[in-house]
Amino acid sequence: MSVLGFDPVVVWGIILAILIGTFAFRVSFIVLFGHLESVPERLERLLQFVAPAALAALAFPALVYVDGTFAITLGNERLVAGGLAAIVAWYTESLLATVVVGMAVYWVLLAVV
Amino acid sequence: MVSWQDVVSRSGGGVLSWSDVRAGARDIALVLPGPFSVAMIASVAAVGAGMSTAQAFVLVGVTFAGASQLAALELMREGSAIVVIVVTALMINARFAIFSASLAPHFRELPSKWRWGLGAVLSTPAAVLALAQFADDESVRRRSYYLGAAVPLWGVWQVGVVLGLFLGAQIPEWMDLGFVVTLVFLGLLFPTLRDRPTALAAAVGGGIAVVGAGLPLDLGFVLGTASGIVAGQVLDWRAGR
Repeated sequence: MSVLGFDPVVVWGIILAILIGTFAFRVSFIVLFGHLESVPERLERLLQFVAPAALAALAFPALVYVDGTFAITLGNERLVAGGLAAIVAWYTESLLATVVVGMAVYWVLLAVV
Repeated sequence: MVSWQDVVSRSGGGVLSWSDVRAGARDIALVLPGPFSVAMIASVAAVGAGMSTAQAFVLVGVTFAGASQLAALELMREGSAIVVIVVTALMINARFAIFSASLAPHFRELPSKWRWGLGAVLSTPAAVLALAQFADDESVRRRSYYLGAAVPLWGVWQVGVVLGLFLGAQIPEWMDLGFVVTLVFLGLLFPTLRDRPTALAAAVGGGIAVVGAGLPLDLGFVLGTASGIVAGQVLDWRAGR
């Protein structure tokens, strides 16, 4: 059974690669302490930009494109709901609140428009 | 006669300070709904994408990661190359190495069997809480406090995964849960914006990804992420850091 167009064996490969790498990160210093000192500050600073860049690169296109069409209009329910959810995220930093508000607004807009 | 308290305290090898374990649990309690939601959403998304129960369970539950897994699923949907999917997920999870490094000095003298376990249940909230507590309070028993915070979160995560695996099979298509994933990305994005360089990284990353959305092999995402990281780093340098 293919997953999003990927062969199941390939999918397992991806899953296991991420599993092993993530586990390695977790135990790296806690277990190997004494062999490595700490993450170089430059690298640490660079890694701080990964989440903002990657998360935005994933979220923004989903908000401004509707079925492949560029749509920065008030008729784009995802954009409006996403914008309000962003404000909630900014002020509350609560994931739960962001998702709940965003979905609520989204469903209301879908029903009304 | 052995009481349940005896069993519990012996299972820690007699070395845990239960008042500190409770303190860790009390401190982590407030943040548990967030990871629970992410675990559930990620599991639902994995099942919705066509993964088997086993695949979804290993992806979200065993790997004990949410944001990276949602990103991986999204990149698979966008037709990214395998290496991009794996590298992106690992870049998002690289923060665990940083927390591992920050916590390592505190656990240095513990037997290595304990240290494998402490590393295995590492999560961002537990690490942040533990590091703050260790800086604040010299006398706290660190392994105990950390486990008091980390193990409940790990447990709640697994419950979220199981619930998500179950629900994933039930949720009807029309509910458009793809948008839930987008909202999760937004919800995870904003707490990471701490200063102008990180905000710029997000703006450039998102902007370039939008412009490049039509490119094949999901190059829009790759270029967006790379540009965002570069933009943030450049602003950092110009600010003199």
